[in-house]
Amino acid sequence: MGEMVRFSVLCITACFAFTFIAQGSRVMASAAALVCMVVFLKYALEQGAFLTERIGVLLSASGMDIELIKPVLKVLGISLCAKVTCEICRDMGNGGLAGAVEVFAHISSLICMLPLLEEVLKLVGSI
Amino acid sequence: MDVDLIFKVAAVGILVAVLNQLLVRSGREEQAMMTTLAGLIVVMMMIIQQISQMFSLIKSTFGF
Repeated sequence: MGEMVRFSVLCITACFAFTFIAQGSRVMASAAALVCMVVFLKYALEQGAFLTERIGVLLSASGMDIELIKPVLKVLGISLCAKVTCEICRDMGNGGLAGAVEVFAHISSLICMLPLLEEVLKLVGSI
Repeated sequence: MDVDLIFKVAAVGILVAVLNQLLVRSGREEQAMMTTLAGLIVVMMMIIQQISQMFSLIKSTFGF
């Protein structure tokens, strides 16, 4: 909980600094916002690495095939990348580019889910 | 968390913003644009390493 509060305070402080920088140079404000986003996201992902380890342990305890979960994790990663990229594009005023990234993310996610669909069809066929 | 990187970039940003305003007010728009460009290049060189680390972290976390 303490980390979340520290995280929020740093984000709000950074936003005030960028508002000031944007008055002088919008380009620098965008660049500074990008830096903050990368640093914060990296920090959040490092905390998340523990999560994926625990998911692996739980899966092996439950006896489920880990290959079935990998597409879900991949789609999660694709959606994270798409979300971050779209917000950066929109911040800089490029809604069209954000839309293109979203379409590409949807297609990538569908491709990742195909193995699961095949598994389901095999399962249904074997009944 | 690399908080000092954020402060370095904020310092470069504030410096470029102030210089930009000074140069624009004194009628030197071209130098102002060059200053902003230089500041942007400096920030991008600072950040490029972090961006590659972030994406490799995403790859390793989500099993790409």
